[in-house]
Amino acid sequence: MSRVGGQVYAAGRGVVCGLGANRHEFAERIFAGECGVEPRVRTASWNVPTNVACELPIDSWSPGQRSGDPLPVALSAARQALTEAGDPDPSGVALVLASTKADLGGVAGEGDGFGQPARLARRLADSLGLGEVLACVSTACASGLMGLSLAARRLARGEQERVLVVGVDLLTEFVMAGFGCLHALDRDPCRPFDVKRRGVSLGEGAGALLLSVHRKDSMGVRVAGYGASNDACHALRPAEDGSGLLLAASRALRHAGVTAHDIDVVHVHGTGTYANDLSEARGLGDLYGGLTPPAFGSKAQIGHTLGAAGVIETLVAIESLQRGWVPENVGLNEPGVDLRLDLVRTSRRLQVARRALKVGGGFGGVQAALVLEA
Amino acid sequence: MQPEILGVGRADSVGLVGSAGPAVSWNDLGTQPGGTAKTFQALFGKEHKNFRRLDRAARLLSMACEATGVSSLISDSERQETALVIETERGCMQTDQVFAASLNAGVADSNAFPYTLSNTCLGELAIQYGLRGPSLCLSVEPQQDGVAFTEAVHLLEMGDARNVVVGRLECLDVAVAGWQPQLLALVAVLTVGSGDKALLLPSSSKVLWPESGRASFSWLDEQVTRVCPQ
Repeated sequence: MSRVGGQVYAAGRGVVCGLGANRHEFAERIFAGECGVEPRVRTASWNVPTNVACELPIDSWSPGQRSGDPLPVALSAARQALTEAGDPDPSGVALVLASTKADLGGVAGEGDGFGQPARLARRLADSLGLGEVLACVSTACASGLMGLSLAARRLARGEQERVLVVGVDLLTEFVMAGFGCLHALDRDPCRPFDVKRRGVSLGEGAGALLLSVHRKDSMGVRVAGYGASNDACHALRPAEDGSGLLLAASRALRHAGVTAHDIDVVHVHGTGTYANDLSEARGLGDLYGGLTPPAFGSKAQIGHTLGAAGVIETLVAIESLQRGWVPENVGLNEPGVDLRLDLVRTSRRLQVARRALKVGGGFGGVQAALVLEA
Repeated sequence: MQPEILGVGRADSVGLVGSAGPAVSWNDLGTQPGGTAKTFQALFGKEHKNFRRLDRAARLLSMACEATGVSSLISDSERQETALVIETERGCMQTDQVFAASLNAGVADSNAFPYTLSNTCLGELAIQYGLRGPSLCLSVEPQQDGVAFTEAVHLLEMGDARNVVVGRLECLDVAVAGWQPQLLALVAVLTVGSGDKALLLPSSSKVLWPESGRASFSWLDEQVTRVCPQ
């Protein structure tokens, strides 16, 4: 494996989800240990086997906008990221969109998105005046991390100067019922890694991260490495032994030119399903061969935002490095996974906050990892 | 760096051809495009234990890969570092409609739902061949052709994969809104250009990387027609 060639800097962030309409509010609530997974309101009429979700408020859409249209949500996150980066000339910014189903309008309900991420990407790029749509990644719940990896690769190769990666997915009855029919939903707020975990809580929103090759754009964190793999064992479940995650994380570390012991904090995927959490804890435990660095996840607070999760949760990992702080794993009372995974029970300061490892996976056996360096 | 092309294949509404497989029409086989588990066994002499659960898109892709010769072109030791990259314009529209219809009927179809994610068929391929490199599914606009080739070459050049199974997948039986029907799985196996592997291919079936340096799937379609017995 080669290393990332040129440097790839994080330059601007944006987020809209059930826990906040901007990154400041979002970060404060994440690090305060708040939970946005609550009784369903906007989706209350849907026939799905869960009582809860982390929903966007109904006023996320203005009068005249189609409720459930992901464009306004993605636009808001993207504009935040561009603003933090000092509003670079949009014609010099390329777009990578990451989403599972993007806009399902036309398949279910009003609209004409038909679940095609490329169609949403074109609307988003045109609305922002961006130079081009570089790619639309639709690789299940690892879409966000795979999109960030793709963007980092293009930047490192010198093909682009700035790439805006936007991950977005909204709640639909289609997707919630799908998870429901697979018996993957917890009826109550999810409890990742807990011995009593029963499944996923779904969330929705958008995350945006502007990546740049220019040091002057940097907000103090860079993408140091990335890696991916496939479990190649089951279409829906991860490898029980965590070998796919281990492979992806090892590749990301090699890319970054560091070892597992150079990592100071791990942001986990942590869906709350029995199989995922078991696999993930084993894979990370094997990566270290002993106790991992402090590890935490965010899905008990914001739900599983699917294709957006990789981007939104990378923003949390960046925030953890910048604050030098690890929030608690909300919903975790008694760990029910490999105890080598050092799941943080009470928020605490990091001794060193130089590097973070972000991991994620999805249906189709896909596993992905990023190394972030402050 | 120009990658070597080790094999090519195509499954479409008419039939199946590939540099390692038989040239057959679905009609002659007495089956629908994509075939069945029995068709797979009859064509390739081996069982595909998961074939029955696959949707049509995944079946077309699986058939095209087998006709391309993925199982023989990539050694066991190389499968750990073999990537999958697929582009699609229509994504899972067909299976989306099947699942949406099941919701409307009041019983969500748990067999269909996994295939409403366009990369599930990549997972099925990874299982079929034990491929453990990165897998990437790209949604493309109507005018785009070859984004998956670009990413595949990048993965090879950056050392992120040793081989890449790259393809275009379209599966839609009837027109939906502006999308025309199309059944197509077009596949190539790429590797880093050491030169030795491609020598194994007979010259008549060699596909050389285009001189322009940029490959597209319309180009690949022409190459399949050229080198594969019809």
